[in-house]
Amino acid sequence: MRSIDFVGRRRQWAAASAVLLLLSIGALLFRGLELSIDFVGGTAFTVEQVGDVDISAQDLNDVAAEAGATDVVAQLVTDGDVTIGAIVRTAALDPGSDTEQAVAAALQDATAAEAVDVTFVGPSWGERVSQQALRALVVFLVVVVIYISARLEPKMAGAAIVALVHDVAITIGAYALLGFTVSPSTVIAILTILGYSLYDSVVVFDRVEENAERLGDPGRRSYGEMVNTSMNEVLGRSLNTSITSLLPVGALLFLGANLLGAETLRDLSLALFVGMALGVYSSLFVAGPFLAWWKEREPEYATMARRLEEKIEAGTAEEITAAEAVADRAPITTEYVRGSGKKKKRR
Amino acid sequence: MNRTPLLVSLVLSLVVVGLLGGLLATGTVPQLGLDLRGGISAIYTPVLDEGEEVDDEEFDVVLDETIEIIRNRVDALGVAEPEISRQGDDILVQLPGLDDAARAQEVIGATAQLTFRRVEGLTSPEALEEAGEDAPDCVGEVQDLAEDESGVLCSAEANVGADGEESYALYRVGPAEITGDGIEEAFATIGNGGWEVALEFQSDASGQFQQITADLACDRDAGQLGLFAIVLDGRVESAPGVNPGVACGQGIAGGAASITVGGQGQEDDGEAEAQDLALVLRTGALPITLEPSTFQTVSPTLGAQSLDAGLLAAGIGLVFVALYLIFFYRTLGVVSVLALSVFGVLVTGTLALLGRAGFALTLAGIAGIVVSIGITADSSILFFERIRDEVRLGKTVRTAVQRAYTSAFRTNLAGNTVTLAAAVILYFLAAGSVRGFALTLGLATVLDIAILAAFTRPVVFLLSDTRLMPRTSLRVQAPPRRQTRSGRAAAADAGSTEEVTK
Repeated sequence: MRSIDFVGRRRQWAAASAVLLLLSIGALLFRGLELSIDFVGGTAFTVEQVGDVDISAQDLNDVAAEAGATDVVAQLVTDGDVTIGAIVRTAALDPGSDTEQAVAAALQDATAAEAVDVTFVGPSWGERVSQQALRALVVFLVVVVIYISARLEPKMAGAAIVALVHDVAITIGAYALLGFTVSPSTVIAILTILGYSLYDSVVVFDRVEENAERLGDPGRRSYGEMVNTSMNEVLGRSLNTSITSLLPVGALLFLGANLLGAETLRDLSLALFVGMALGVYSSLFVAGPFLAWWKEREPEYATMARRLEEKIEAGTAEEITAAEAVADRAPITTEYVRGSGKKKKRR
Repeated sequence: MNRTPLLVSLVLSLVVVGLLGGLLATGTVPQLGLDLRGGISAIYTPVLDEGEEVDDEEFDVVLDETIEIIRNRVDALGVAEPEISRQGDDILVQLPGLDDAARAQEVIGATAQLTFRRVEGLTSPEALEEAGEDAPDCVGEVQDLAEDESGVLCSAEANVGADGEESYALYRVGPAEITGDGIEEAFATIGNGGWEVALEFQSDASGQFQQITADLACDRDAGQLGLFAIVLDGRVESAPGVNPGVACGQGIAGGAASITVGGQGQEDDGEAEAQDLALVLRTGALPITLEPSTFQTVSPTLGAQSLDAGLLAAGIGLVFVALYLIFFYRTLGVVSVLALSVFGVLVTGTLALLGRAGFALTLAGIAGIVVSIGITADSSILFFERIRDEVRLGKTVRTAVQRAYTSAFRTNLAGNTVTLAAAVILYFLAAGSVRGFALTLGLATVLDIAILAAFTRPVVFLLSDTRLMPRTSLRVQAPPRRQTRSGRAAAADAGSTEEVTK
């Protein structure tokens, strides 16, 4: 089985991630995020099944403004060349108010639509929702750090959080860059990504932890190599899991894309798709290498790594080079491995 | 390997699947949220009138009473299965099948109005008809009178006649003499003659109160009714008379009074009635304005489309995942597909059960399920990959399976704990659609662990004992042998330590 050097090439992965992160931060700074009415308050009219009329988004803008709405942004929803509906966002109009009813009626008239659905969000509500989400996020991160620290170890919790911040920052950056609207569904998706990113990191680290018990037993493997071996061991799982996770989300994305009123599905699946893919990448290329780098700064492991290097330089470590440890060592979790080690020496 | 506990576990899990499957087959399906079946869904946030201050406990009580008032109003609208519930300090209103936003807002958003009015006389539908007036329909929604209007109002409670027929008392009342704002305090208490409601007025209202009670005492002495109606939201909650001890022209001074409750034939000693009346008075004293925070109308067709898309996505996702797993894991893949089917039945069945307890499945909830398909597949994948690892090391399938399960379960538990923590925290700390998502995600996570332990484990363990799962079906790659020189070089190509190897 070919293995990938996750840990050794960490500078390359770090550079790749840094580029993505810089792009994200740049996009956030210069383009900003487009927030849906759920965060800033407003009224959205969903025009269902536009009749057989030729109408442009600008026409709808004018129709709504004429009926008394302000800050109008109209958007057509199309399936191929056919307009199937439209979404018209305006400043908040009190539900049931005359203006709101007038705008709805005007839009229905202009489009010969079957129905016009109205969504209203009060200005203070969005603020509350955002605050709640933020509070949930902080509590969640604290709980996770405590849990991983207790279950595995504190530095793993740190590395997992680094990977997570990486994933979320890039996902949000993608939203800014591509100009997608951030809605509560996006927030849900981002929270899910947190879960996924952590889940992936935990799976990798759990194997590292299991293998760590054997570290130093043969006495010839640095922490970094051990992490790398562990990651190669769970690589099959990581790939298969991400494929099986992305398949249903891809189906959501595909089906939700051309469906009116299914913004929930679309927003959710888009962020999920980006975030999940990143989650797998980061658990392998960010969390693992970061953990190895961090741990090898500990005196105990630093000494171990140095000794190994000296051995290699002296040429006395032919059988036990890093490449071999990475390339063809079977999982080091069992006694069998120790046996195979001995065999190698005899050869 | 002891097979009995495995078989027991398998049979038990199949029984649970059978029960929930049967439940679904007999027509108990998850209840759908309004974004999936159409209607009006709104969240109202109570706002205190400016300058009002109130402690939390009192706010709670008044908010609950406000919800009760909305419920009564909505019932009067004739909406089928309305749901009005409290979410923290907000009020969630769900009106299936209603699409008239103006009407809904009018009914829900209006503030509860409490007025004290003089009763000019009792009347009946027949009497009104004779006089050429319209008798109010007391069953549906009733119209409140403006403060300076007088007219005929219904009693809040119906009298049930001997034949079970409900009838409402009709009061002809005058304009409002005092409004709820004038009330300082109202509470139920035990007086000399049993339960009563102690009532205190604010200073500016107490003078009015004395004036009116003085007039009413005179009316009473003159042989007229002399009743004072307490009107909430257009209905007469109570119409007490003035105590014989109050002299004509003098009235009740000091801004404090008590209303004795309990008539003949009361089952309890009037405590409930006193508490209710006190609550009505307090709610009237502290009118909460309900401001819409979110308000959404969804037409039934749009809801149905969203539902179809959600279900189709879940279905397609399941099929693709199933195909992939079978392609990749062969026999084990079939097991994981079975596990996914079990997962599908359990999730839907549990949601159907929760539906009976009032949980409605929303689009965000369906998204939660779709996401958890991946999580469920993952627990199988973790297990299978581990089996392959162990087999690759040269273990027998039977041993490999057992060792693999122990470690896969451990990892799965660790990972799922994180996901579950996310779900629980989201559920309790977030609002709106996020909660529906968190609930299905959390539910799926718990079911996932249960399925791995109670279904996948026994099936794989039992299979490992049969010829259905031969060693060859597990090894996609050749077992590691001592690599040739070129083989090792090729492997080392992947590593940065390549030079060292040479």
